[in-house]
Amino acid sequence: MTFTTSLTIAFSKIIQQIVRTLGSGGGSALPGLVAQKLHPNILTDLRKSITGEIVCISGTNGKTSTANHVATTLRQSGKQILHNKNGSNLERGIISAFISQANWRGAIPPIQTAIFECDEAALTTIVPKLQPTLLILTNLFRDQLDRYGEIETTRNRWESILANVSSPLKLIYNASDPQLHALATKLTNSQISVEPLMLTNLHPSPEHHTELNPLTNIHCPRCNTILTFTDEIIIGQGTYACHNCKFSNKNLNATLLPSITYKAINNMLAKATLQSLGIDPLQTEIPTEVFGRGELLQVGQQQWNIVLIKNPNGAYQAIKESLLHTQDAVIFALNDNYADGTDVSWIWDIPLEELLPHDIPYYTTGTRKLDISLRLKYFNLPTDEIDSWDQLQNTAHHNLIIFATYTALLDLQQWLAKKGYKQAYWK
Amino acid sequence: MTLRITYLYPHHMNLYGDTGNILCIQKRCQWRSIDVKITLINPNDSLKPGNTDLYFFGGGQDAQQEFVAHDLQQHQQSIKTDLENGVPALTICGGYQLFGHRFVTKDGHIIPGIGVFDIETHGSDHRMIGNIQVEMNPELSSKVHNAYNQQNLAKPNQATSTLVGFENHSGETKILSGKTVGHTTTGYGNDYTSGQEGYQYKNAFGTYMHGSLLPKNPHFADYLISKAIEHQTGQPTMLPAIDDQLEWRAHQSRLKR
Repeated sequence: MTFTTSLTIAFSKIIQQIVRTLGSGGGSALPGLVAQKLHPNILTDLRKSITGEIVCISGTNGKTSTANHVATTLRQSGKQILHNKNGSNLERGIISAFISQANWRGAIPPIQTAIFECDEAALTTIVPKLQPTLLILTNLFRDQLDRYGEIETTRNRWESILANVSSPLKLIYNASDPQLHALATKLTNSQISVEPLMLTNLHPSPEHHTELNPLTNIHCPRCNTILTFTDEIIIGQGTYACHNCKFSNKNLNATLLPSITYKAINNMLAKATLQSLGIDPLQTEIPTEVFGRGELLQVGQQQWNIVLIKNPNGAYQAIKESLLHTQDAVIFALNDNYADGTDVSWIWDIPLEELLPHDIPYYTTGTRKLDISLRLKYFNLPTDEIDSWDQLQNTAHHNLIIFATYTALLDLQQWLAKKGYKQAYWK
Repeated sequence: MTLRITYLYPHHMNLYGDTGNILCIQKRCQWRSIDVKITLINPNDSLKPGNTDLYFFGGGQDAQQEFVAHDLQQHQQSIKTDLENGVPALTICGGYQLFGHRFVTKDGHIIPGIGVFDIETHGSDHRMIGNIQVEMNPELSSKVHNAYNQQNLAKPNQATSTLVGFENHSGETKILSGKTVGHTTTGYGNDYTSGQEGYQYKNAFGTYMHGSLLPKNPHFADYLISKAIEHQTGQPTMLPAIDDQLEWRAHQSRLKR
């Protein structure tokens, strides 16, 4: 590493310690941002600390879960790894992870393997600088249109950075996702080896959805004709063919999914990743304690199930799977801060008509609680608005499920830590 | 009675939560015991005039907008005939743009519209993304106010001249002739500088407002529904009272003073 890098890291490390001492978050973004401002290409230098594989995991949904699974299994197998554990996945988050490993002189010891969860938009700057050896793409759905723009814009940007990769890279991608399959089948860069992960149900089932469900009837990424799905594993993914231009994933060798859940899919991606890293994944259990991804917590006399929702596809799947268990009450926490996406129009594209039971109470909270209350009203579900998490404790419900957007989740986690129900998430 | 809604290109132009407007109309009709029949028009479907009481056309990605633009051409005459006969329409973002003459991209590539709105749109470098609030033009505001059942309001003569939503576009729409929906008090609207938003022609409307638009603007929702009923029956109609307290609370919460 250069002297400039060491100095920058040393300085940023001080910032990180200050942030953590003040208790205002985990120092998983600001220190990296400071370093980035001082030395914009610092990541190109930092990557030299990694002696083995550099793994980037990106996509709309499932990055954190997949990365966590891979990282935890690697640690359990005795590997020394670097991982942006708290989900801070912009370039600054990756830099912050390196900073965490540095000593006060700004030196970073050699690290065997790096596992980085990467934001879909940030991937375009991260890949050229970090030069990963392994890239995992989970899926590409509409998400935060105000921040990311259109899906096809993201896909085009990915195509572009992959075309320019100049060192060997293996791409493992979820071929059940039409957008990713369109991307992967168009790649011609000889530096990239492609491994499609094709997933199917035991019994192929083209799911039937309500007529106005905006998450189905997906257009072919090549010619815009509506694709025919002969098997749907989760909404928007499965086995498909275009009767017009013949774009299809039917010819791929398929792996059977043990259960039709997004967690099972993430699990499969994690396993494929581990196999590429030379680890034979004996574990089929997903590690628990994933930050806000279906965390179950004992809160006083109640059990709270906490689930992050971010976009229509992820929310649909999360709600569908979570309501398989018995819930006494459902809470929606909708914020519209920058990290949540400032446009809440997306809640109208979650086809709740297929999912929500009518015989349990609903609560809403967050900066846009009125919007989500309105959404539920248009599904004939009355709601009670709450202003604080304390109010939930005063109810008679035993099993609560909370669907929260990102900053609402952070707020909830802080409240839980303050009340002593959970350690601060950065500790 | 059965209200007939024609939903244009639902599988291609449905990226921004605009389907919520259909859900809103459906429910508001259902709560008044009015049946709704939704006809989906997809590429290669046929569309005849005289079968629609309300058109709906949402927003989508650039590639899909171009794709449907070509298919839409064959329906130009039917839609034009219906709009001339007073059929109401709600067109949003990409759909709004295609009801105009054309969309010209930054590279000069032309995507044809159907010219039922005397407007045209140009791609620009301005990203107009954010909350938007519109003060409706007095004439429109008055019509909307008069069509709305006053019992739905929390207090008599409550202000109902505003519309609230969210915009996300870089296309700038130029009005060649005709009226806009109103002026923006927050946000951009049709373009970066004019402060005007939307377009109206007879009972057809174009707007850049997502949100979805209608749930937080129940007065506008009922205005469109009443126009649709009026088109079918030939008689002006006042929709029965309904509990819109939550709608107005949500609307008020978005208003910037």
